[in-house]
Amino acid sequence: MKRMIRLGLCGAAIAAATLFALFLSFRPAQAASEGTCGNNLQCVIAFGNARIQERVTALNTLIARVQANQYLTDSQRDAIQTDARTNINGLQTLKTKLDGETNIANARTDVHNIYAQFRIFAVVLPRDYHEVWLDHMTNLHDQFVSGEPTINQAIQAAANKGINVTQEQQQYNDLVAKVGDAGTQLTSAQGLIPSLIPANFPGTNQTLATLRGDLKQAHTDLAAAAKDLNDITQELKAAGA
Amino acid sequence: MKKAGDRLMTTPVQRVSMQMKPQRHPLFASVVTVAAIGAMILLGGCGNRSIQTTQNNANQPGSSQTSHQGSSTSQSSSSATQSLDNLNNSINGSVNAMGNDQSNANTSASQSQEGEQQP
Repeated sequence: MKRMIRLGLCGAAIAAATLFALFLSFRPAQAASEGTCGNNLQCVIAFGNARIQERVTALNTLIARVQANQYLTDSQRDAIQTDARTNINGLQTLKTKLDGETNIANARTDVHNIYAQFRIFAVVLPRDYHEVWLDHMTNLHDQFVSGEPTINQAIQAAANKGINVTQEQQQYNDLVAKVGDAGTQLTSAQGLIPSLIPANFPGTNQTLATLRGDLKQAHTDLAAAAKDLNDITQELKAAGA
Repeated sequence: MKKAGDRLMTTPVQRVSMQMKPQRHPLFASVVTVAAIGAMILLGGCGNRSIQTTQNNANQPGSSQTSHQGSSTSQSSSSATQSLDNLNNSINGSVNAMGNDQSNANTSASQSQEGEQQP
């Protein structure tokens, strides 16, 4: 009996020692990413600079994508790029301040301000990327609206040629309705953009969710309208219009 | 009996008529030349406008009643379909590219929940 108790205690001790060893082996990895600088000023500065660089890189990626986006107008591109560059300049100013800190409390405040003042990942980039999507869809919506007479004219010309256009007329009516609904969603989305600023965080999360809902619906509507247009085009061409 | 006014109307006309006769030849030639050129310009202009009007009408529904206009409708129908095809191609390209913008927006939204880190 005593032998069994002794064996049990030994097993428990071995298990506890193993768990403790595992805990120690994982702890340094966690500390490397957050919360281990203690009173080491250079460690805090290096941490802050790494966070700043992540954000500058992400903003430069945004700028490159906006520049390459041929479905935006020049003014739309300029607005988003200007916003991104303003944030990059602000972050670089903060980096200069952080690099010059001699007091660890001030350095920690600078690091805090990377989040509190800029909210690059939480607010700025989601807002700007959704604005790109919004601008693109607004331009597409306008292209649909200005193209509606062209679509209608092609249907009427086919009808005058003796082609039965009943189906195409229904598709056209659906297209007009979908484009109209997309316009409503886009107007709503446009109204949400100005409130997506760092000062409104974390309320911006709900605003962003609403914005995404509007844009998804507009996207679905415009895709459906594009399908209607494609169907009308292929059908009229097949009918010899 | 003639009134004074009757005389005044008759006599000057006769006088002018008689006086104009010898001076009429050079002026008349110039006027006729200018008028002829003007008429040619006007006729030419009217002809162009007439063709233009016919072409525009041919793009409107219900404009084909004769065989000639039927030909115009055939042309306008093809033209309208071509315009439709161009619009369709342009919009298709934009809709396809819209997917990239949606993807980038989705990625940015998925990163928006990142919490604040402190060293």
